Amino acid sequence: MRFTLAWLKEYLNFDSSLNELCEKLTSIGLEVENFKNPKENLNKFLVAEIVSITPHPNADKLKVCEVNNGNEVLKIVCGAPNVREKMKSVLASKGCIIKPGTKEEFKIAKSKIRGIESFGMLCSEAELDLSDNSQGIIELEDTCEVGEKFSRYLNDENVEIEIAITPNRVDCAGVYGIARDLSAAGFGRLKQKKISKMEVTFESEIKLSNTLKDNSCPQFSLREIRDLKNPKSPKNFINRFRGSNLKLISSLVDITNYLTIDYCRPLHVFDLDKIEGDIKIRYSQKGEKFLGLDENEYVLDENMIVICDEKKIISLAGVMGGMNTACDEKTKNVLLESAYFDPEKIAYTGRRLNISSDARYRFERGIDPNSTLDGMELATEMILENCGGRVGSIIKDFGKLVINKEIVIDTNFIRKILGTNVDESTILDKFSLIGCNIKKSKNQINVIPPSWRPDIKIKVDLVEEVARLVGYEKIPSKPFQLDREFEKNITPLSQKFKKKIRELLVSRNIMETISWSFANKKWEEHLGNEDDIIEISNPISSELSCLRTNLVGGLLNLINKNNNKDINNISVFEIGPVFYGIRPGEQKDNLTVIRSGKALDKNWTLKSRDYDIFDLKSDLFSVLKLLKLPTDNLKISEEESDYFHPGKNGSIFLGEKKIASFGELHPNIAKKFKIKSTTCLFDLKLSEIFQFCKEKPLTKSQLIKSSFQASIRDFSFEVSKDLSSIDLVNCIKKIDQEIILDVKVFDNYQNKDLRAIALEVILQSNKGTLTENEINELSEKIINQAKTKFNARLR
Amino acid sequence: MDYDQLIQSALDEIENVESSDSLEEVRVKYFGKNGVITNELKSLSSMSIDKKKEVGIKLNIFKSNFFSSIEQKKNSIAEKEITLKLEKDSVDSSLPPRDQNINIAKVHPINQTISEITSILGNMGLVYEEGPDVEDDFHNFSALNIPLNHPARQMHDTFYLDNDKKDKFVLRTHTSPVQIRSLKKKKKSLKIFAPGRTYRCDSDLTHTPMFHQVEGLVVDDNITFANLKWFVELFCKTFFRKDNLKLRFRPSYFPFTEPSAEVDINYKKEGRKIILGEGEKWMEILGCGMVHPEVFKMSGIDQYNTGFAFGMGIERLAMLKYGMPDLRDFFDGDLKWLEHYGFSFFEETDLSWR
Repeated sequence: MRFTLAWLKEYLNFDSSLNELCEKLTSIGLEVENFKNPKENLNKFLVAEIVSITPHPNADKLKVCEVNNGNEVLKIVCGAPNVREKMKSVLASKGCIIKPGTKEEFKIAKSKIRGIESFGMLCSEAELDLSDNSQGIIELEDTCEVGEKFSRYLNDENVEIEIAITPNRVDCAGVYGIARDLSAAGFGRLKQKKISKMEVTFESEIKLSNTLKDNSCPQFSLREIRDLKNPKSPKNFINRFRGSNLKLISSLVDITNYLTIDYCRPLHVFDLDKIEGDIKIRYSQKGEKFLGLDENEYVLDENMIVICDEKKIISLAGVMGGMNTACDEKTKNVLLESAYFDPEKIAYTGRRLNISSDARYRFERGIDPNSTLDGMELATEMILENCGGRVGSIIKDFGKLVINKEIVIDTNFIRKILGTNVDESTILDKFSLIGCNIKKSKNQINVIPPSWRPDIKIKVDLVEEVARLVGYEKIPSKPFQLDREFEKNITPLSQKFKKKIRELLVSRNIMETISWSFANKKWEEHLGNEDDIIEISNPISSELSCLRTNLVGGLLNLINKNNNKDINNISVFEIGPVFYGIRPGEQKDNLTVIRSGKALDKNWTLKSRDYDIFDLKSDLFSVLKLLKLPTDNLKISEEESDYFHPGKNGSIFLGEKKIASFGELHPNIAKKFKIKSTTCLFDLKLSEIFQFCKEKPLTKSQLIKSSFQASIRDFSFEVSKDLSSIDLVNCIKKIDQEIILDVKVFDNYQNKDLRAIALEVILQSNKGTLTENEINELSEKIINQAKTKFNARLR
Repeated sequence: MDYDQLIQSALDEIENVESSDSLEEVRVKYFGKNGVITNELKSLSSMSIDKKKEVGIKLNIFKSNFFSSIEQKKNSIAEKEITLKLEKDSVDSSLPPRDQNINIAKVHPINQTISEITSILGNMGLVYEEGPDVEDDFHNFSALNIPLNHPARQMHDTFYLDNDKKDKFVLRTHTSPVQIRSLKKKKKSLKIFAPGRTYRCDSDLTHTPMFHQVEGLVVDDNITFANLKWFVELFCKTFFRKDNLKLRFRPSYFPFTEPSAEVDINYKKEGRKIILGEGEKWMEILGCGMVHPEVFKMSGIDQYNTGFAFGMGIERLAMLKYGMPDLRDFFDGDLKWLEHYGFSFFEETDLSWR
């Protein structure tokens, strides 16, 4: 909320500086977001008179002015359309700084404009940061003295303060409320708002019927004012509205807007001559239409409070008035409305129709229910003053008033929450300062909060008031016993594993990234996931309109974006959630590693080559190994995902469960992501495998070493082309698990007629050194098994 | 025969030899099967005993001198040959290393920061809790004392997952729902923190639609606002490593805490650089407060309980500590940015290794 210092001073007497005021506001919970005191920056700017004007010889739109600054006459080039002789304006001469501290800051110096020397600048309001008005230079009153400092003619209406109001503090959504809270906090003295009862000159004949039986409109009042005029608002309004960011419309509307900001009392004024018959308050029906003052047509839902005449809806209660009864410059008779509505009902209307208005903002937070008639009288008084007219009687329908309930509290409770000993007298003092009605008995205090503080409902709300008014800074910091349970796990196992994996992959020179949990619908389609798309109802953009079902799309997009910046050899991974539903918990953690481009770029030592699937398999296996998952007897089969190269892919099973897939990206898919280089990736379902992973015990198992010599035998088999080498390896391993320590593939040769595979078999017994006979016997078995099971022929 | 002369010429020959082949020739000449000395030794048997003795001693001394010279020469030749070979075998050691990009990979700064926070809060007795990214209305709003028509909901810019905007399933707008999930699990003393992804439908200079928060919750008998102040101060000083960091607690509003506070830390600006812990300016760093009784009630805790909660933006913490200038870069995947602002493994995560 923005307001001018002059406005605040209307209700608060204080001697402190603007800085002190701002500090106090922040310290009582009304955070100052911005304040502007143009006086500080305008000390060197002078009142000057334009003595003569001649056209600029080289530019049609510029003029050359002789300007008197009280001391000398200076030549100034000026392009403002409103510049004229004898006019008084603001002169920035050499050394003055325009908009200091902003990006547009500049220092005035002697300059040449289109060949003519200029010794300063005549300023617009925008240039002095007084308003956004940059249409021409400032025109000062004739009474301003030439040569005087311009800042002398600025007043507190030019000092602007903007504060952030938290949703609970609706009482401070009015300048008067801010003054009241400052004074309660001991800053200045509140000047009570004067409210006088206006003299009624005629009895109103309009009938009012409130059909809401659920007390959602407990107070509703109307008043006719006849024979008035609706001119533009007077000058004092204009200045204040500008400093407070309010739009001027017409006297009648400006008055209701003024009281909204001034007294947190939203009102509405109807053009009486546009109202047909009596007034009714009712709930809307689904599908009813309403044309708002903002010129938008709204289609209503049921159960929104509406104000109607006999023919039509004339206002969305507490949110916005209707176009059909709007006041304009021809308005002669008005109907003024002041009411109190159930905050929830107003919030509902505003939320469903997505209307933000100053009235809604206040009503849905709960304005002072006692301000209905005060607001009516205040508005009447201002209308009489600015627009004239005759005042009608007040028509009202008042039901049960919502009043704050009594809260019973004791000082110990307050001390227990705050952790400090606040005196009882201080507590009582603070309660009464904010306007509470208090009754002190032996063990307790009975507190009735004031009607303008609907946020104070329970005991802790009162605790906050005490803390706030004493000052949070006065509450000491106090240590408490920190738990140190050494056996307890601090971090979940899955997080520990994820951290280890990050460290491993980074040490393998793969960059970690974090990408959006959102996905582009197109990516999901490219990857063949059309059927699994999870759309967000209100996405931030069409590019990020879904929840991702995989990490692959985002990472491929990353590769493309970096390719566009000429970064072509990329290794990158992400560990993060992917989604398979819109319910809490329908998400899993995945790990995707992508390597794209050259494993070795051209270099002086080795042959350059692209990444291939075995680079990725190494990464994948090192992760599995880190997690102590058995990499030897994993089942590996071909992957059915369409996004892989049909001949270069694989998937990995743990038992019956597929835990990972790897492969080279299908060139067609690469094209769709606009990736030119060879790209390989693997996708590992972390959530699936973590359940098989256990934390290592602190004590390591004992190392058992065989003291007998190992023997190595090499075999070279001619095999069929579609042999899955891991099956052959596993088969050989099973021949004698005690003696065959390891089987390694050390060569794989393939041409169009023939495939050969070379194995190294390592043999060792822990019973004794193997004899030549034993080794030969085992070799025979290996050769036989390979022949019978895989039709492999020893070469 | 003039043995002395023979001996001298043999030793001279050894001296003048330059290759191991010629050295072998010299050896064969004197001590080969038909070598000069071999033959002399053979003829010893035909000499008289005295003569035999005299010549024998001479020849034996000679033999040992001869072979030790041969050995010496052999070594020196070998040395020369190695030197010669090495001279031919040299490379330009200023050529670049084989590995072209020596460990340019980094951990993402968000995970580094979460890891630091984990280390600090873990040491302060809190336990890491996780919660889902997708939440229901109850956990994200209602249980946190934000009923459907509460104005605070408007401040959350929520992403909805079900088309009718009934708020039933949303992307969590804060990490606070983890408070509810944890309280429901454990009723008594509870000390947790919960880092993670959060989402709001907002994108500009200072907002990204996805960001990270960390939530803290300490519930125990006799936990007070004064304890909250101490805890938050200790965390901030440890995290930013500033002994003189000043904190300002000022009243604020969160539906799920009462009293509520926003916390500012002091800083000054030198050019574009922000220096924390010095100067008189304040910037907001976190929100906190005493857990609202409604939160306990909604989590199924009836008996009166006290506790405090706090929440912080992880990107902001990272930017202030490590100086990334622009929030929007965090999730943009620019490899140059990741390399520059990322971390080799997890630095600073162990408090005593800083």
